Amino acid sequence: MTIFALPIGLLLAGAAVYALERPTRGRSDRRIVLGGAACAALLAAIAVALWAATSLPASSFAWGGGLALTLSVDRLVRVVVLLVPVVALFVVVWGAAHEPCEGLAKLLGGLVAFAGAMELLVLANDFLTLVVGWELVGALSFALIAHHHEDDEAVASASYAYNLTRLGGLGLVLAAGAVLATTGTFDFDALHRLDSNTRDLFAAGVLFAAASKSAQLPFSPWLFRAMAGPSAVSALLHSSTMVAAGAWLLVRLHAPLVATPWFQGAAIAIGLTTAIVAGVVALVQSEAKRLLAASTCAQYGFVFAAVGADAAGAGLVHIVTHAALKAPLFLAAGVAIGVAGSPLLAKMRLGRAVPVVAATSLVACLALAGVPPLGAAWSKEKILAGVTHTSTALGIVVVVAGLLSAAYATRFQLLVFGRGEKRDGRSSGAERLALLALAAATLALCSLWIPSVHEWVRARIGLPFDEGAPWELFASLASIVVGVGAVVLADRRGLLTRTERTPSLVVEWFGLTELFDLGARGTMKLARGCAALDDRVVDAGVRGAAAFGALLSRFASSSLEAAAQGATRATASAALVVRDAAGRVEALMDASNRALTRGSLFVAEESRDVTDPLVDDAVDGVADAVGRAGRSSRAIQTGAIPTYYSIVVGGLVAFLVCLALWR
Amino acid sequence: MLTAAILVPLFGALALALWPGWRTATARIFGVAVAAIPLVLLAVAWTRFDPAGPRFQLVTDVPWIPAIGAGYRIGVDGIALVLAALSALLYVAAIAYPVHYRDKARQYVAWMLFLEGVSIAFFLALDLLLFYVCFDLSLLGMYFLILLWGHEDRQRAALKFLLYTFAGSLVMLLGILSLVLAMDPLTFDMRALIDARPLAVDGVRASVTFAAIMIGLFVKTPVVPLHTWLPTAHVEAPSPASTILAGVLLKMGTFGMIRIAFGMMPATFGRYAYVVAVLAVVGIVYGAFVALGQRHIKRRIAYTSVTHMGYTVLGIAMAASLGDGHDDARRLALDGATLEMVAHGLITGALFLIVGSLWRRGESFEMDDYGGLAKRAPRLTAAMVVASFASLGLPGLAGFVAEFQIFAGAVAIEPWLAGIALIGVVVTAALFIQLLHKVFFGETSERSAKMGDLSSVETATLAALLGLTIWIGLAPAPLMNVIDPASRAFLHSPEPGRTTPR
Repeated sequence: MTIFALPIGLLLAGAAVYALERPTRGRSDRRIVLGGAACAALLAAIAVALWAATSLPASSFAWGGGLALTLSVDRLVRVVVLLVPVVALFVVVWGAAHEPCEGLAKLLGGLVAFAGAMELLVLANDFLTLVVGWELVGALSFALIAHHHEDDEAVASASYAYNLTRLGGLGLVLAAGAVLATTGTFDFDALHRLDSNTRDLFAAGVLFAAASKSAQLPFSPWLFRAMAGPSAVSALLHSSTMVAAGAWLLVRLHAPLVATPWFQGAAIAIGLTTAIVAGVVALVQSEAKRLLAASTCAQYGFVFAAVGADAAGAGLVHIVTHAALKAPLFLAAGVAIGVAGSPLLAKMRLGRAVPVVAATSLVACLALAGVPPLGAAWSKEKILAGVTHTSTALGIVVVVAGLLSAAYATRFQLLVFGRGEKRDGRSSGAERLALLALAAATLALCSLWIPSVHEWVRARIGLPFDEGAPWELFASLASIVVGVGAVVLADRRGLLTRTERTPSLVVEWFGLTELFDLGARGTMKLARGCAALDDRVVDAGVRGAAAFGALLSRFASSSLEAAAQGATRATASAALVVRDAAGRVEALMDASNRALTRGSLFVAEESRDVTDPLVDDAVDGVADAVGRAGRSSRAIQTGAIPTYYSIVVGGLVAFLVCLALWR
Repeated sequence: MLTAAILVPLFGALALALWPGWRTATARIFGVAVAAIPLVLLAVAWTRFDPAGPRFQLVTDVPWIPAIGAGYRIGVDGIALVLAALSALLYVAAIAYPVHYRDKARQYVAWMLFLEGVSIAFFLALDLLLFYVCFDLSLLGMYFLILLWGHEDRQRAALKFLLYTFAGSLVMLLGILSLVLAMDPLTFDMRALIDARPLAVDGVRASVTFAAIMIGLFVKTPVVPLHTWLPTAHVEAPSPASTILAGVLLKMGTFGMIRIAFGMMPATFGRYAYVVAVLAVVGIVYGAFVALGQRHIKRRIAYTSVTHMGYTVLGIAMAASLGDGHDDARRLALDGATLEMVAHGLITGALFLIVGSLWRRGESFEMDDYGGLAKRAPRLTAAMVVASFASLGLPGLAGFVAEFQIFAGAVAIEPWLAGIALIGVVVTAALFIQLLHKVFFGETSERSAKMGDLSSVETATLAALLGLTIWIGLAPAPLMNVIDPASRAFLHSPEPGRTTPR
């Protein structure tokens, strides 16, 4: 079996599920059929991924002209290749039960296909395959976010997200070109051969693309717009796919990236700035899914910082622990939005309405807050250790970002699943099953704290973990206590939902959203300006030339006549020399001359009918001139050689004389 | 066999022209059947073509006007074969597609078949005179298609098209003559010209000749700022004619750049490659912005042609640049340029047909008049979504393969230029997404609510074009294996004795 079966199979399975679309009228057996088909595909994918993770296969497919798509599973790839279908499976189970029947086939098919595109991206072993996977993920995210395609707002949001991530994706094309220039291939295996010139372009391109996909600053605002999709989409896109892709790429290519001198500083700067800014942004959001979206940015900020600090192993583990906690949080938020009938945090507090969901969310929130012994706490400690190795000051920034994580995790849990009034809440068995399974996974990751377990992980992925100093763990714990405590206190005073007092500038990414909107408006304005310029100025040159030509031809028509007569005589003698050839050409030319003479008269007449005065003065002029030349040349027709031809030949003779002189 | 591919449609056109008793349906079916014969013949030629064999194959060489060394010479290399086959396919699609005939179906099909014969002859020509004659005749055919079956403002658009492009082709003719006259003995044989490269010597004459040829080709391609005939012609032309204009006629410009400018004057092209590349990049970015500024659907798509042909020109210019040590990148760029011609032909061809279907149902080209068509016309929407994403370069579709090759090659050779050109790629994506949003998604407009879905003929035609787009996007190897050896021949052909040292 070739490893291509994994991404291709999922993409085809997605299409197949979509093809099961039927008019439903709310029948629940469609849910079972569609959900069952999607789950079967993902279970098969998990089986293939397990095989791949143990046997580390590689495969390639030739595109001709020296291009090939290559996939391979190495020690890092095998972790994520398994993670993607597992998370997707539970999201699909939840989605099949939760999302409306109308359009369910499209949604589930999209999710399965999306997992396939992500697998392609993960398995890619060269830049061509990477770009293919990367762009497919982007396009499918557009389809998923714009799931309700009759809703203008949703389509606009999807377009926004797509345009911004596509802009970033071009970084990969730059990187690919840089790699090609030095190595002659697109292979990841050849990256160590990069020289100092091309390495800069390579690293810049990759970092640019990764930052855009992982919604790091300054690209973060697109993630809020991506929330327009259904909750299942948010859960898959923001846990193990799409947004994870940028962070994953840095981990995948960490060795050549870290070899670029400025890269470490840049990646840490982007990652930690995002972790802090997104942490603050998450604290002031008024909608549940937006809070989670901002927290996603912040958490991938940690991974960026980890790769920058040459602690890619910790970054990889954090991708896994984050996927396991963020998927259930989005699904829980989806349940909460359904029960509350509103996305607003202020209208929730559903702890007593959906207690099981609340409990799973609590587990995930503890992990998000970085509370030991949960797995995400371990991976965050390892990132802290890695960053502190680079610089203690930066380590302190990580601790502050950890404080913010604890604070927004607490805020989410209190507002969404805090103890409120008793309400009618419903969650189906399948929804709870998916949530419980993901929460169980989060709990299972606690085992990372056990030395033999993380030793085993280290050996499997082949990357070391930094040992942290004791003060780091202490500082983390203290920051968590402060973060949780502050939010609980604020809640007692009823401050958590008073987001209306926060300046909207802060809520919307400290003005970045406004800046992008300005950019979008500016682009449209520029486009309209260019369109007007093209119509009025660029084309005016052409119209002017036509008018000038008309003037010139009027002036020259008398002298043209004389020249034509001379040319006719010259051509006639030439015709004697090449009589054979001319004889054959003559008949042809005669016919074409008649056609052309008729054509030019016709042209002249037709164009007089045209009404637009501005252009047609000019065009008329030319046409008139052509017509007049035609008529006047008929006067000098000799009968032996057609007139039009003779004029052309006359021109040619003049040209040839020029050429001869030139030599 | 190649001769038959040229003559069959010409005789078909003659039959339609001479015998008046054709009914609309018969004329159309006859047209499709005749147009399909060259496609079959070229497919057979494809199987006989040996990519590892000599550069030009299946050659026919008959003297025509021996006194000046002109002959009826046809044959193919990989690039010509691919483009001729693409042309044949697009003519079948264009003739099959429904259009408002204005009670002159016979004449319409006749002009289409005439154009098909001329276009195929153009790509197969191995003689510069034949090449030029076909280049000009194609203008004439398109002129009449626009004039007789176009929209409201067709007369002005047709005239502008004719005068503008004819002026361009005259300039090219001067260049061609200057090139040919440098041959001793005088010949229009392209193979001889490619081998001898008569004006390889640096000098004013080589530069002026090159400029004349390129200006003529720039008009045809078109390259900014010589493009303003294009939007008016596209807007006024009947949609299948737009398909031919975009899919076949524009390729004549870029094919000429490869065959004449690059094949016969590589040293001169190398000197000016950077200038050409800058023009291409300007066209890419400018064309994309102007397209984004259009609310008129057909104008918008017409301007994306400027961008896409800009990619092709960029690829050719990169391949022609004398960047030493970038052989892989140059070859990749030329492969990409050729594939872009094919991809653009299929994709933009399909886009114009789709726009024609929109017009037949909604009688409007304004984006704002439509909305929410996805609900009313799922097949039309599916076709448009595939075509749009193909045009903006989504992997899995033909456009991506070509764009990736061009840009990866260009970045390797001229990172800054390529980086600027990538802006055009982003804007192209944005403008297609916006078009899809406005016309097919969102709330259903009054006009959209009354529209029906594609007919079976429309569906089949679009399925063929887009199916091929997907196939090339997934597995371009069969195509690349034919194109790539031709590209290698350009980059590694032996230097003739008279070239100057670099």
